[in-house]
Amino acid sequence: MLLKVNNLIKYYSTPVNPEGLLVLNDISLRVDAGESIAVVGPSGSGKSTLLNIIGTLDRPTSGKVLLEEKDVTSISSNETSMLRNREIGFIFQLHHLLPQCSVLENVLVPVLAQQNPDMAGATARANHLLDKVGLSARKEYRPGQLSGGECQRVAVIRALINRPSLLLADEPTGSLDSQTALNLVQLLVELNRDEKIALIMVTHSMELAKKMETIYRLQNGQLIKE
Amino acid sequence: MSFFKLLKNSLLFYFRTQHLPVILGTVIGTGILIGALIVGDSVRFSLEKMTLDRLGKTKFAISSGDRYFRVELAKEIAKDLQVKSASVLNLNGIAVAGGGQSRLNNVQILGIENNFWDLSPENVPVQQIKDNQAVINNRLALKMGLKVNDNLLLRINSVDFFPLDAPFARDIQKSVALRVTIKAIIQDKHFGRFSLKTNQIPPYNVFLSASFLSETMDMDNRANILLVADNKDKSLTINMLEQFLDHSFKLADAGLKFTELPEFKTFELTSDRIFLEPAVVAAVDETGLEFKKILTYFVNQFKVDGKTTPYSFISAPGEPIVHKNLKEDQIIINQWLADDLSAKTGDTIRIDYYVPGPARQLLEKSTSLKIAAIVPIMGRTADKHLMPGFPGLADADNCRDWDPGIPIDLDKIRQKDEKYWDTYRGTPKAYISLLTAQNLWENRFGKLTAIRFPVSSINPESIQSAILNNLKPASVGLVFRPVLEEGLIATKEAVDFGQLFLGLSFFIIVSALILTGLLYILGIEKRANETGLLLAVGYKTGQVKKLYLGEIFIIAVVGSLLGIMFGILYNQIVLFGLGSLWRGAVGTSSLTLHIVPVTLLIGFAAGIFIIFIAIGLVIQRQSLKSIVDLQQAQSRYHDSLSRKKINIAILTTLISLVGVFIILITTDPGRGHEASAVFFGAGSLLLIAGLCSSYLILIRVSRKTDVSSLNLSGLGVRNNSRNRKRSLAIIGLLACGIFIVIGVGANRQGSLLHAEKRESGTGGFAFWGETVSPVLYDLNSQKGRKFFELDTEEFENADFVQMRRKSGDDASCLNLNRVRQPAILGLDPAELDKRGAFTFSKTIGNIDKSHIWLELNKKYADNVIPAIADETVIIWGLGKAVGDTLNYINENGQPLKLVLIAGLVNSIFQGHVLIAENLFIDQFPSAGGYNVFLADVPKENQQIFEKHLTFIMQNFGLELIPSYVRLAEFNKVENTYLSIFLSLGGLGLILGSIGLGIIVFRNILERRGEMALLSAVGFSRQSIMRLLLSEHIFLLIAGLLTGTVSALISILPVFFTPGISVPYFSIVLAVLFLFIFGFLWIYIAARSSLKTNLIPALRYE
Repeated sequence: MLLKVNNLIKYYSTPVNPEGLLVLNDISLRVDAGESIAVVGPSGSGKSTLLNIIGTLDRPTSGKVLLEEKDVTSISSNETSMLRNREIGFIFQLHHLLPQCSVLENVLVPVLAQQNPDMAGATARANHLLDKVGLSARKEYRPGQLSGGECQRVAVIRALINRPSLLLADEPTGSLDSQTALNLVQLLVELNRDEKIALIMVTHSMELAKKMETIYRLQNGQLIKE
Repeated sequence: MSFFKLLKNSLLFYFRTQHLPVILGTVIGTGILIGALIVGDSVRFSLEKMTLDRLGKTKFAISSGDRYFRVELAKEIAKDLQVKSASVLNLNGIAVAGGGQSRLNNVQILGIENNFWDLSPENVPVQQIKDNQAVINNRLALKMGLKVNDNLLLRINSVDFFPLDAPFARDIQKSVALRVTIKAIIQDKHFGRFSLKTNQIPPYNVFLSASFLSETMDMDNRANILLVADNKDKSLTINMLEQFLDHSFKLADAGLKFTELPEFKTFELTSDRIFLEPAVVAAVDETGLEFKKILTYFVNQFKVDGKTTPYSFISAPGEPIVHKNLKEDQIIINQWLADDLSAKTGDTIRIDYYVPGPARQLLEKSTSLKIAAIVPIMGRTADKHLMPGFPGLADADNCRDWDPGIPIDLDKIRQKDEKYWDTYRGTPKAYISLLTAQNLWENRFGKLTAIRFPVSSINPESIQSAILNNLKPASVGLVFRPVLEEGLIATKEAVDFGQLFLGLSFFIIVSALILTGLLYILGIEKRANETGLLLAVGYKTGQVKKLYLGEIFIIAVVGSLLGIMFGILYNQIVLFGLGSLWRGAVGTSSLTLHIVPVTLLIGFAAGIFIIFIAIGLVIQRQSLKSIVDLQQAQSRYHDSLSRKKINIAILTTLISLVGVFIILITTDPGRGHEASAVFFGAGSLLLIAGLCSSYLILIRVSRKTDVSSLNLSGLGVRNNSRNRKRSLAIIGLLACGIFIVIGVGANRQGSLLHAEKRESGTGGFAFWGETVSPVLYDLNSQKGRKFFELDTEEFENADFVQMRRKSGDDASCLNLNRVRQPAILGLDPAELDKRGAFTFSKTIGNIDKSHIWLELNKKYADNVIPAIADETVIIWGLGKAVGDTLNYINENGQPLKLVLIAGLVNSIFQGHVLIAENLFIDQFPSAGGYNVFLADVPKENQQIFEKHLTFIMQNFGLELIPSYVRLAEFNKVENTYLSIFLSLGGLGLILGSIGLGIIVFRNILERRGEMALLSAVGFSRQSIMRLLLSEHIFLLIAGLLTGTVSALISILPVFFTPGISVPYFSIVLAVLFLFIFGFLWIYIAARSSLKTNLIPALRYE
């Protein structure tokens, strides 16, 4: 079992609701290595919150998240950073590519966070992955010179550069047109299969969610398997 | 790919949009910091240069004041020690030109020889000054509008070697008028600035031929300044000079004459000062030689029974005339006197005589002695040489020409008296014992008029050597001082303009830093998602900070390097300002740029450091945000409306307003200094009330739900309540900025406030007067008033407090140099005590605080006496505190310590140290007459008094100014600094307004979606513009209004203080500029952010 989410609860406090708005209500989840999961739900249901907590970008009010039996909710910030760098790959709705860096450089950005990075090895992997997604001809291009879909593909490669065991995609197709979105999700599925990386994808599109092995619905703070 | 590649990419990519504005902000902030430091270096360098200009190559000097030595001493020292040396005859005088149209007092007249120019800083293009020619300095030429070949009249007081206050010294100093033609006008570098006084303001100098001046003034080739340059090895020391002086010093250098009287087989030692000084007598005593001490005096009359003999000399010559058995109450008279008085042995003879009293009063006294013997006039009893050389007596051809310093009733002089004078001159008519004579006529100048040595086997040179061996040159005022070293130390310890301008520029530096920080925030928040991304992919917070700090370091280095250049430019502007508009602070326009590499390095490092601090704080704040917020580039900010916060705001507003009200109704703004502090407090309270009120208004506005009153402007105002903290920060920044700038910069010192009151800085005196020539009369006496025609009705209530002066450095705030020996004034403390004049700020513990002035009369020990000075002088001019001691050398070459027992509140005495007159006379007996006075004059007579006295005392070189004007001159320095603060603060405000524009820009940028929505629902660009303008102008006006009104309350006393020039123009300009620039930035920010297509912003939630 790669990922275990145990009894996760998350409250957000607001001016209207000082005691806190319950977003995630006792959520539990199990994800195996190489498994692909889609989390769907209406807007504001807490899908991104769940993903952020799993990805250690946010902390739960209570509950645990165990990644390879390690409780990620109670480790130090340095350990969290290392975890995010090595074990988790994140794909956001907006690609967040650094405009000052080329495609290849953007892909290699996560490698720089390591103490003694193997830049040569990483560069070779980056080239391979870019080639795989059909962007090797664009590797010297800046993000401003790419289309939205191309940028998002670069973001995917960036998420994979350190061979994470878990890939988290939060509405990765949110800013793409339907065809491009489909292509991107197809890419994710292929990479999930080829790289044997567990994939959790948050989406509000049922059509895209069906590409995953398992679909969960997040509603009223509860996670229900479909 | 590497960290440095990422750093380089970020630097280059964000250079124009993010880094360039930050560099600009850094340039301004560090540039001003560096510029301020360079100002300090430049002023210090300029002062040093002025010192070197005024001293030239001089390293040591003697300045003996009114003690004169042989001019040959310079040549002797040059030969002996292989150095350049020059003697100078230095006198004070008055210069008149243009037929009397132009008149200048306090002119330094210098009689020089050619060797003087050898000591000039640079080669002087002036040949020998001939008789009736003069070389003047540039300052004098400019002041009097003179050019080469113009004529100049110099009026110089004749020099009497005889002390002015000595018995028989004349009441009036005669003056000599010299007409000269200007041969050349010299610059500072050609010794035009020559002076031994430490001051950045050069004197008015007139250089004449030494021989011409000496002859005209009947000075017998004497000088009172000796200048010595260093030797070739630069190893000349004071010890070497003192040793030289010890063996080259002659009796003539001490004003002594050693004459042979062959008819009496005797050598006689006499002094130009008539009375032999105690140091001279002690030196003779120590020789162990055989000698006779003599005291001869001039008496008003001898009287026996009803008969009188007027105006005669009486002497105590010792043996053989007066045998040692002659009793104290006995007298020997000559035959002529006996015949005139029909006196015989055993008769009692009464002697009437004058002795000098205080303030040159003549006290008539008498004594009665019994005639022990009558001697014929022959041989030793016909010794004319016993008569001392009293001016006005010894040089008179006949009795009717007598003009000593006592009244002579010419009607009393008979034919026989004239005949006696013709035959016997001043041969004494009577003889008494030395003890009797000294008991009667000993005075502070001495108790002997001659010492005689019998001609014996010892040659006269040996006698003179023996005397000189024991007579120290210092005891007659010949002391070498290391003037160059003293001058350079004074400049090193001078007012630190670097620190001063750092303080004055503080506001502009802070504004620049805030601006830089704001610019950086704008940029870094645009990159928030980049920060979030880096953290999300596993970068540690430290690594992200390192990346940004790396960028900042490079920006700071570049900015600071450019800041150096800007700093040099800023410094030039400041120096120009100090030499023109702000000249009141420094008194000179001769400031030159001087750059010290270490200063640049310090400024450079400081610049990087403060930028790092400013931006480091921003980065730190950024790092506290959650990754999610960074990713979404938003702030989950919620300003909750807590009841508690509202209550606190209401309470604070009420308390502050009550405080302001209480102050306004209980404090008289016309109370001067005390009121200033209180009203500043009131202004601060009003500021707090204003800010709290602004907060409450914003809350009120946010709660408005009345849609009927909703309009575009109202919506704009309501928008400010969304982010109350930010809105309040803008209002607060503007308000505090304008408050500080106006509140501090417009707070002036006044001199007219209660100027007539005794406790004020004028002491309640109407006028301060200074003369070049000392006034010997007591201006309150009948004699004095008659002489100066003050004995008329309109002046009958005019009263004077006269003061003696010992020349020294100006220790007022007008002198930038640190001085060690300020000028000393000797006054009668009782005169100030009885008037309760002036106010003391501080005293030492153990004195009677109800009569502080009278403490000056106490003598603590030999040569240790109390002194009082202006507190400003003590702290800033002298770098000391009340209780500290000042070290001087008195007239006898002995150390003198003045203990500062009290400090005066800002007064007209600035520049001087005050001691009691009687103690002053002990220490400086030769400083005769009064050079300074204060005048009490009723208001209605002041105008006529000023006109009359200025006219009648013009030949004394009188400078008469109203006391409050004198005080205003000192206040001008501080007021100038405040003006500088106001100017620089104003610039800081303008910079701050740019910050406002940046905040506006950022505000709008954050709400692009909102703007897009308004556009989508049909708002025109103009409407959106109006909305944005109304929103931000509300903040601008709120800030300006709060700050300005609070500031005006804080400076209310300034409006009620007469004589203060309120900087209305600067205040209005500051507020207006801030409003205009603030509006401009708001307009530009709003316009530029609305320029682009807003609709795409709708696509991103």
